[in-house]
Amino acid sequence: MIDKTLLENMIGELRRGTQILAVLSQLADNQYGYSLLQRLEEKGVSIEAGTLYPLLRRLESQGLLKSEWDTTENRPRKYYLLSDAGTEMYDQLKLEWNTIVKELDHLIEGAKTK
Amino acid sequence: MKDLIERYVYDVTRRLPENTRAEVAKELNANIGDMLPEQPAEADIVKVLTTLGEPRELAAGYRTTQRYLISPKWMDEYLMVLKIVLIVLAAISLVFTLIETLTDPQATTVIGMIAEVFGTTFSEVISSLFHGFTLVTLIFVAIDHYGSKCDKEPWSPKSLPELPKDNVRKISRTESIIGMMMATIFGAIFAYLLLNNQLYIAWFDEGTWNIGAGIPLFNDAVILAFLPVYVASVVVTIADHAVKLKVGHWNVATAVSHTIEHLFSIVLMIVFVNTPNLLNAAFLDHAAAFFESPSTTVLAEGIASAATGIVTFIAIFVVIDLIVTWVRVFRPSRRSVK
Repeated sequence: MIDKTLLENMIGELRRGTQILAVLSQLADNQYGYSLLQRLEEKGVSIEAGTLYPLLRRLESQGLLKSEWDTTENRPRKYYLLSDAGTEMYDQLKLEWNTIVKELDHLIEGAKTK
Repeated sequence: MKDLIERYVYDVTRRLPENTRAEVAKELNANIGDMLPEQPAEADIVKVLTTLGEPRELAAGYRTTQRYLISPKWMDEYLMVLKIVLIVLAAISLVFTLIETLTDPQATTVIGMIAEVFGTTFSEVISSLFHGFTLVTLIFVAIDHYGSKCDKEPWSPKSLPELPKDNVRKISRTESIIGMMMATIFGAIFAYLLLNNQLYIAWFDEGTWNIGAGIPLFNDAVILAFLPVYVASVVVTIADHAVKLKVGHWNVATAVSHTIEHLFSIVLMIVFVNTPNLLNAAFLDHAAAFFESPSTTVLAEGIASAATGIVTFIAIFVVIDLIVTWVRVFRPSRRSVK
């Protein structure tokens, strides 16, 4: 029997590295915090709200996202969108992700056949 | 009801730098509003705020830099230095306060003196520990902060420390430190008692405990002449432990120090018990009467031979101990010490 908490910790750690990629992938068009959260959830990727909102702000301060307040509706919303630098970063990260998937597939398959 | 949201947002933003507070608050309010249904009940608000998590953690997420006093990189060194500094400071302040309060007590009664000694010593030790803790922590915070900013040369394997020599017998640091503290504490106490000639032997006299009937055990003049030598021997003992602590294992240096210390102590002891007129005549008279000894001389001789016997016994042990020590130094064990 493996330690449940340990497993959860490890899964959390594994997933944490992919969060940024997941967020960048959905911001080719305008999203506000909650719509992005729902969109990710619809596709099966759940990021906690308490993690996502600060992450968006951090990515913005790193220049990867642009933001705009929409005050036309009765509740103001902050919309986020990939900046040029963000788009480029996303492309690079995507390449890296594909490499990682290939490498690990290779490792895992290789281990099976032994 | 709305109150909960305001309190939550406040609790998050108050932990953030002032120039970001307004923006984060606005955004957080918008996000919370989005997550709530129209006309939310209090239960809805509680649910949403619970999902967002503890304000402390959320605020940490909004911060761009990690905040800590001492990074894990320095933690080992920090804890090690802290331990050593605290032990040394505790020992030093313990000894000095003890000496100070014992030599110049303000209180006039015995109970008062005991309370004074314990109280002063305790508070002095605690306050010196706090000083040590603060100082070490501040120094490490500075090292961590500025050390990472002014990048030094990249690490190279050549800067690795040497392996400790194999085939050495370690001397436990704890043992040395405890030895040092014991020698200081008991040395100081005993020296104080000698100085004031307050060594009494209690005996049972007419149904009550009589503290030597107020008669000191030793002869005043002899004791005063003896005192400087005794203090010297305590200093030698402390120095010996200091050498052992510094070297950390048995070698010629530690063995020499060990030998000097042991010989000094045992010679001192032999000389002490053989000093003529060591025991106070008044004490002897009183004791002779009490034990119904035929004469004071007989009793004195009895005491002297008993003392000589004990000292001889100790001397034999010292000699054996010294032989074993030197044999160990020159024939180290084959098994390597980790």
